[in-house]
Amino acid sequence: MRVFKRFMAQLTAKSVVNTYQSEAPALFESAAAAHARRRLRNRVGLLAYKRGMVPYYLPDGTHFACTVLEVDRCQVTDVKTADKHGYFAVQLGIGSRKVKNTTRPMLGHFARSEVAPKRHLVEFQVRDESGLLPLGSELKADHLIPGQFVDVKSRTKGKGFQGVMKRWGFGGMSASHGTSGVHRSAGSTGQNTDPARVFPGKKMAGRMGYDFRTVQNLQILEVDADNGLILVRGSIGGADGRLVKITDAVKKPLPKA
Amino acid sequence: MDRLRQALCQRLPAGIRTFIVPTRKVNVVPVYEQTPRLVPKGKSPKQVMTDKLYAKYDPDGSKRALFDKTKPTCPRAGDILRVTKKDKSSFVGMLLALNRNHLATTILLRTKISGIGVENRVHVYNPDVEKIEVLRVPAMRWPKEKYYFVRGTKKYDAGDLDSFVRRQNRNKH
Repeated sequence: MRVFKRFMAQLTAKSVVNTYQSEAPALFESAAAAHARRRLRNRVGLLAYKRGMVPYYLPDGTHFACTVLEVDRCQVTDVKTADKHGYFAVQLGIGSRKVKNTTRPMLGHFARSEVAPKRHLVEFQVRDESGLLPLGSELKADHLIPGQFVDVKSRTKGKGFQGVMKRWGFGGMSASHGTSGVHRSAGSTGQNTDPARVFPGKKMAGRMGYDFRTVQNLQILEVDADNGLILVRGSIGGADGRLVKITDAVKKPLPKA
Repeated sequence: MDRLRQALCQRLPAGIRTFIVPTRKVNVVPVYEQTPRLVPKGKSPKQVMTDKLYAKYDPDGSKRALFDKTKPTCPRAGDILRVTKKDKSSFVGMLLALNRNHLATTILLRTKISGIGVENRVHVYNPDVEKIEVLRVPAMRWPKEKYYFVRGTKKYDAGDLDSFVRRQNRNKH
């Protein structure tokens, strides 16, 4: 067996002498990494009111339902920065509110951004300060481009206190075989002595509806900036007049402005 | 005058001050005027959008004029109608129902093709529907808005209306 040995002196190449310390990547748990992981858009969304549904026909004759949204005097009322608030966000106001129905602190808030009192205020988080907008700037309906896809978030209609069959789609109990008076009940809610309790999150009867629901990837069909109207394909949760929050779809590429 | 008094009083040492001049500082909050709503007054946003779509789907207003409730020529259940599409294909049938719902107004037509009842629901304002015309108005009408009862009856059901049209055309020539 032959053993090779190095007898030559080891020289370091000149190109290797000047090595640089590579920058340590952000820790997964760090706030910066967590911020980078968030699916935040840098473009502010839009506020609107749901105003009913109309049919829409394509030239080839296919038809579907779509929703009319009204962008009613949507203006920037506040901006939040990482230095002061810990995150970047634009606060938008929509609608109008009578002065006598507005509290004094809120009047001061509106005066700071030089806008008339608004009915609703909603924040839109953005990734960094390049997504912030000047105070008081108005967002019209043409902030959205026809053909682009959006996610629409709104509160659904409240259904009140409902049983498990309506609320969670349980099957209910047997109509016969000795069942009496409990045909729409949930049945068993757990085990016996071993846990001796009902596990948290068990689906039971209770208040149903009036929660935030997001409908993803709805297409913008028409935009009428003069009247502040938007036509969105498909349906959106909630009754007419409900405030809706429109953002660019996270699962589609951003529109080309 | 109050200000002068206050200034004089404050110059005196605290023990000699005999009265406190009340100060009133009024903090006025500026309130900006509301700009008018973009949707014209007296019109609902949905109505504005509906009008816009009417102009798109029915530019000459002929369909709106045909289904105008106030006019006696408005089709009613029992009439025989012909619907012509853009590709020139047509469907002749007896009007069973006219469902008024603004832009989503539909008509239900029934005919018989080789002895089998066929029904066709047509969206009136669909741009694919080129023309709707009334071919015949019955001499006697049932006092009903919807003619669903004719289905499956021997006496009142729509016959083979295609042959009816063919016969009419033959008589014309």
